[in-house]
Amino acid sequence: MNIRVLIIHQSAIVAEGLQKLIQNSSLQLHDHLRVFNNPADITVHNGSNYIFISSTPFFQTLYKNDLINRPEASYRFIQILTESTTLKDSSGSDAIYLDDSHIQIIEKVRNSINSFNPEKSNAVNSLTERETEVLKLVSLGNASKEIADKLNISTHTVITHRKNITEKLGIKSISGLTVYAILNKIIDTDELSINDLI
Amino acid sequence: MYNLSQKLADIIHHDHKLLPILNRFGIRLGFGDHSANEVCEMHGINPGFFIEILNTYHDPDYFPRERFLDFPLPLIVEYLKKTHQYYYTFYIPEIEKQLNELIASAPGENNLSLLTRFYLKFKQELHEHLQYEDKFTFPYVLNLHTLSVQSGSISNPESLPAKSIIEFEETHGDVDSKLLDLKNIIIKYLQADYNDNKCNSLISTLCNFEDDLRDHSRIEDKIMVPIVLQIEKLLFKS
Repeated sequence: MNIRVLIIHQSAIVAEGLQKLIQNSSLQLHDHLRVFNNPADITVHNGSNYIFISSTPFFQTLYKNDLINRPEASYRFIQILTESTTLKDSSGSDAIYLDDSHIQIIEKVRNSINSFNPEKSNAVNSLTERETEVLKLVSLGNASKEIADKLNISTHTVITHRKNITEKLGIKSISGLTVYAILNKIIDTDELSINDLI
Repeated sequence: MYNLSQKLADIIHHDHKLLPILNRFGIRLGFGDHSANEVCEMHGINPGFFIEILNTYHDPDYFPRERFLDFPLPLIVEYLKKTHQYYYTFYIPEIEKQLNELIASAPGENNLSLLTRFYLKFKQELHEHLQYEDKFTFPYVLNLHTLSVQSGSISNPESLPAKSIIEFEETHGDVDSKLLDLKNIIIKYLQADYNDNKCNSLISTLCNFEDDLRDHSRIEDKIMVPIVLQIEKLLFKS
């Protein structure tokens, strides 16, 4: 799974110290671990999972910046806090404190990595029966509204199905979905001209 | 991160994917032991711009936004145009060629010809997108740049299209996602009786093209568009 860990902190000691700790751990992030001094320099790639480890002011910048609202990537956040400013909460998994030990810090990052739910991403992403029906209609060139009418469900539900289909298959464009549908014999091309569909 | 005092040969040994970038700047092989800076001098290239482009391409997470904002727009547009040219003359026909070879390696496989069909659709959209930028977006950007250098404000703003750069640059995402779809369909769902090596070459070309397009979009969206927006704000205020 593609996970990138980005450390964003105004203090070079904190940012690079943290980077060194993680590099020397067993987390094996290699070049997927980066340090930034300015959130504006960050670019987010489609299909990647991100863990932002950052000080509080930078979080606000990140939230304001549209880059972390992109649906194609998913995110986790760990705040870097000094102990004096905040009460430690018992789980402690979403914040790293300056007086945390090496082991505690690595554990928190590891928990965050695991929270991307490897079970889900390793599972066979087979479509449900309903999703297959929706995919079929999409491939045949129907708009969401038409699909909603044909299946007697709301347009909103159709859109949710479409989102799930794209997420499961990793195919976003309509013609890409059509290719998938033909390859998997979800639509029958004997009676149809492929040229009309793709 | 590379710097200008490094030998250009060492940089290319370290990351050969930078070769097409050299071509876009008109640099050809045979640079001996010359440093990047020296090679730039010989070719009349802005060395600062050159090294930032190399670093941005080499490391997708590296983005020296502030330094880019100092480079003149015509330099950036020129580079983007060269990139388009490279897509027209290399990537687009190359992928088509490799796809055709893959299909020829598996006669009678209908599944594979489906991919060509999909690719042609992608190609058509990409062509439209690139041509639109060449014909409308870049001239608009250059025009705006000239005006801002000349006067700092426009006496008759009606002479400019009633559009903002934002509207010019709307269609990126579709093209990028189609390429990703093609790659995914081949990697995850292809079951035809194909030739392994031909398929590997194709996927590797697709991946390189994807990286190149991503870098290209990044320079447009994160560099060109913000600079243009700044100028638009300045010009249309007055």
